[in-house]
Amino acid sequence: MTEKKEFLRLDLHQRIQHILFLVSVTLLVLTGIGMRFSGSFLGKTLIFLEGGFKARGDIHRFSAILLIVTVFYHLLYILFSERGHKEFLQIVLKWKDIRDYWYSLFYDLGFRREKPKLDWYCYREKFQYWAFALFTILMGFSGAILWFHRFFFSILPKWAFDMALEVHGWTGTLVLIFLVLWHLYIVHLSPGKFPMSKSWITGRITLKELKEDHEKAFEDLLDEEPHR
Amino acid sequence: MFGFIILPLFLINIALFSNQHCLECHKKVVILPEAHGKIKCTGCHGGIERLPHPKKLPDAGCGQCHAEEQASYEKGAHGYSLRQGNKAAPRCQDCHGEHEILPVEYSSSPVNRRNIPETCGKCHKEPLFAEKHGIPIRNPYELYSKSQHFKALKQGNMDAAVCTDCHGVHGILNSSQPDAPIFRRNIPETCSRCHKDEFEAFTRSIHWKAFIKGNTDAALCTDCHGEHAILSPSDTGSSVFPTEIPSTCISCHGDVRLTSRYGLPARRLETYRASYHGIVLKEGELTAAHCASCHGSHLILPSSDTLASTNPQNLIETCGKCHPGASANFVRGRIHVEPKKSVSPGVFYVRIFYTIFIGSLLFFFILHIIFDVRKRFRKV
Repeated sequence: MTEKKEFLRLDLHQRIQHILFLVSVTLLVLTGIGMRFSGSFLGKTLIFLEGGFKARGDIHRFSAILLIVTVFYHLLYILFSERGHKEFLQIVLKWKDIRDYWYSLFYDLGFRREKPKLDWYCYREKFQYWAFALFTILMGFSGAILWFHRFFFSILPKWAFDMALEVHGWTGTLVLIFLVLWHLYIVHLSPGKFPMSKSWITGRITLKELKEDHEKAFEDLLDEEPHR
Repeated sequence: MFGFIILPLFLINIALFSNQHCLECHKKVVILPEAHGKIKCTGCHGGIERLPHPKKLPDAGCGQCHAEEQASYEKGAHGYSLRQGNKAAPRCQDCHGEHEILPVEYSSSPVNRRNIPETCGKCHKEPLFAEKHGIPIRNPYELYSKSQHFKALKQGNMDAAVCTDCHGVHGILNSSQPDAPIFRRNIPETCSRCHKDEFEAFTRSIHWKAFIKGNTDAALCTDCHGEHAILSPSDTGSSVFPTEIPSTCISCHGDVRLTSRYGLPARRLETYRASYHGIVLKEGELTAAHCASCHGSHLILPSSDTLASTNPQNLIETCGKCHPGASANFVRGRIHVEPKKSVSPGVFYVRIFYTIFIGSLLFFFILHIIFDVRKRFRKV
């Protein structure tokens, strides 16, 4: 097994989910910024590029549906495929991840000699995954209140709409920050990864990358080999 | 003795002057039969004792017959100006014409309703004229010619307001004179001559009530609608066109001097502009609620008034105009949302939480990037 230079990191389902998520979130963020900063040059430019104010809203809602579809695809994948199930169990947060984060930081700072041995999914991937899961839930609920306001008018008080709007706008900002400074940095911009890690297209990870970024998983693979 | 004989002869001599005598010299003069056809030349032109008469004669005495108009004229700004020796001050003939005077009903009369704007405009379209005589509005004719009143007049609506309807006819007074129809306090009544329903609603509004209590800053008709260049609310350039209404209201309700003086609620425009209604209205969605959609237009009342559309009791109905599902539960919470603990606590805490959360997250992310970059470059 060690002769094999590459391992399957993401299967076709995962890659399709990633691309659907990427497309829908990018469109949501772009159209969302257009609305949030509609008075500024940036907002005006985005609204213009999105084909006007009405089209902006339509794209936003279309992308929201695409995102919801992706979420259900993902849930079905986790629940009903063996690989999905196994992968999900590996991305569940553990105390080790928080420890790994601090140890990595201490190692980077030179306070620790040893580099923590990271899992198949380490704190980098897990934080992203769970942050985006939380964001999707927050955005989904607050967005639904705003989208179906006609229905909710008979149920919710005005301040609930104000809060939904506030939460929706701020979470959007948070998503953007998370995307750029965490996700895009890790997979595109960080030295060694630039211009980008190709895993999301090929679905494969090289032995070198595995050893570098996920040492624990690398060792597990070596241990497993004799039993196969 | 001779005097007794000469004087009657002299009087007879004058009485014997007929128009024929005048026309011998004044060949071009035509008296149209419609108005003054039966009046002799000497009926207007006094001071003719014998022929040929002196070159300089007194002004035509229109007031002999039109005493009321003459008295009114003398009270007005034009008459005053004439007495002050202003040669440019208009006299009867400047508006009515001289010999070819027609009754006002005739469409070619310069004082017929359809021609009044042009007649006044002869002088009041010239900015230099206004400057010379210290008239504050430099080109009222040009402004008026853009108005809905003018448009309607040109389309043949003879009820459309022309200059004289608001300013008066012979005794035109300027706006600083309490009797003037354009004196600030008299403006609503002046407009009410045509716009009765609006006046009736307006006089019950807080704007009017405040005004008669002495708040001369309170908005009257012209403050929102404009004066000469008044446009229909459906005209995109109108100050009361939906997209323009917020800036119209805010000229007073956003003025720090006025809001602090009268204790009006502040930050009305900012909070509106930040709301969904404000954003979509600005983007051209004309059905989006603006100030008047909730507060009313002519009959605006403070929300403390139980009759006000913005009174908590009436909010279900007011919001329900656009949002039929609005319930008693819905109308809880502020409409003008301010991220303050006392106004909109929910929004306030959400904002505080996110500000702190995003702030610390940014700190950690940037820290992470700095260390990561440092480490990797060190390795290479």
